[in-house]
Amino acid sequence: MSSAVMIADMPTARTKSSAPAALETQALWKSYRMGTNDVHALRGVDLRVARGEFVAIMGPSGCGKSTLLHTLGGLQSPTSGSVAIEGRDLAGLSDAERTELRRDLIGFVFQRFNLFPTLSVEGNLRLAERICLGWKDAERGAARRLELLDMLGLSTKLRHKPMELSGGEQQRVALARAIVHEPAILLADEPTGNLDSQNSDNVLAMLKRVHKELGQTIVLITHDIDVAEAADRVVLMKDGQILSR
Amino acid sequence: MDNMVLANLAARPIRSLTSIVGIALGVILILVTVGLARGMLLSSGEREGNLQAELVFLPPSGFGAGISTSPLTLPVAYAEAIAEMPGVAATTPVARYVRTGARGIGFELIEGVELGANAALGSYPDVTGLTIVEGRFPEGPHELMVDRQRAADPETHLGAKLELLGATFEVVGVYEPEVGARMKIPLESMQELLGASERASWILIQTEPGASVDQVATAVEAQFPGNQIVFTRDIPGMWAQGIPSLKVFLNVVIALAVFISTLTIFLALYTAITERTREIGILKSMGGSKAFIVGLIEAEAFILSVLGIGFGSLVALVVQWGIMNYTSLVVRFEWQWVLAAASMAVLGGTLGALYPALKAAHQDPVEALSYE
Repeated sequence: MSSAVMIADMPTARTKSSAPAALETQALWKSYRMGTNDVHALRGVDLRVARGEFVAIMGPSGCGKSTLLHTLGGLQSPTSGSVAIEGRDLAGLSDAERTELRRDLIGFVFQRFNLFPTLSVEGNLRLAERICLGWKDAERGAARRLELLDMLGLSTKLRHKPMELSGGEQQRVALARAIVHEPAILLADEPTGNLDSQNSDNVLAMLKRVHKELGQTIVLITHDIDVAEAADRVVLMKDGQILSR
Repeated sequence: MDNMVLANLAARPIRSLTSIVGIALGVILILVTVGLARGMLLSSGEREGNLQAELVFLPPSGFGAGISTSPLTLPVAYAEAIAEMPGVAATTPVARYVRTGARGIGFELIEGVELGANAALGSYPDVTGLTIVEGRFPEGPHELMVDRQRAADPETHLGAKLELLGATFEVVGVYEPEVGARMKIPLESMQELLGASERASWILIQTEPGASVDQVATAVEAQFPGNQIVFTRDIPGMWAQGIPSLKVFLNVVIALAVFISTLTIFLALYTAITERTREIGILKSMGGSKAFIVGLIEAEAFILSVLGIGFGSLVALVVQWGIMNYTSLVVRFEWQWVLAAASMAVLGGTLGALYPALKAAHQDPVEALSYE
């Protein structure tokens, strides 16, 4: 059975298009120069993600999913077109302002977990608190940290280093780190891509719980139909373009 | 570990240790070199200042460079003539010779002093207030006396024999207070061995009680124009000011120390930043600002610098102990120089970390995240 057929059959496919946009792109192009050729990773992408919506992006490798996610998160600038996060157009922002916006509104989760190997679980979360909340909200951060670690089943792993955890546990720590400052938007790049099915289910369950309990907007890239099924809406991409929304 | 700066330092112990040693090297270089130079100057100044004579009559060469290396050019007859002048209680000629220091390190001063052989002159002990605390004054031509510091050295303790100016001398007395050179032989012996009969390096002048030292100085200067008169009360200050060429040398040493610290931290952190490219990408994805990233790397450099300062200071103390116990040299640490060494180490470390820090802060986050 092809992915397209399965996605069409998904019972969870629904939209929240009437809600204000958390993320919005218009005619988004991203091109790279490789040798003498221009490679177009994104070709006029128009995408609107409503507040509180859980969107899964699927598509073959190299179709521009990660480029879209990085552009949505303000990690890179588009070649042309516009990206707006919570109504703020990134094009009009300086590098420092984009960093600030990312810090305040966005949490990233990556396929390779991207935890700091020299820091403990608690250290990884404290670092995120320090970056996102500063010193002033230390008390709030500490309370939030403990609550999250409990919710994600990591309360007993506080002093562990990432290498002492299973893949599923590492990804849950990465998830906790991404949402410790309660960002409005969570961007996840194949968060279950490196996990076995059991850990993948665990992480997915946590994502669903975070979405349900915290009401965050989630944009998730996946190759896994089961993971995509958890989303409100699935966006299919191919050759830098969106095929269906 | 919860702190990223400390965790990064602990994760690469050899690199951290190498950086600390590099910073320490700069600190040691400043502390020991400056401590040695200043120690020798201040110690000499204090010992010269212990003279009870009020004035020193010198040949025309400058005091700073001249007093330690004056050849025997001044006629002893000048001392006899000055002794006859109004307001002068006594004079005594002093000859000074410089030789390589004990165990071949540094240099050592030896003075030839008048011990009463010439009735027309005051004796050195009378003019300076020097007394013997162990043994006796030299009587024979190949006898010498030393101060307490030299007496503590097995090679120059009471009864020891040593080669000086091609002759064998025996230590027969230990004197106090520390004044001038640490080893003194009869003036006549030095004159004979150096082939400078009836010559001295300078003349100490003791004024009469109640006489104006300034007036005596003016009178002596007028009678022997072209020579120098130095007030002994000014000597410690003159030594403390140092020698102009020495200041240039110390500045070069300080610049070298800063360069070592800068280079050490630069190399260590530049490599570290390359290794941590992906981590920098993660920090950026988390919203870490450029200032935050620069701050993290500079904090790492600062901690390495502080540890380097601590380690360097400890080693410098050990070196000081070694030099003071095994050579005739004096190393003295002064707070202002310890602070200067610490500041230079921090400055060097901070400067060295600046380029790696800025490079990290300006990395493209997407490229950094995909770094393998």
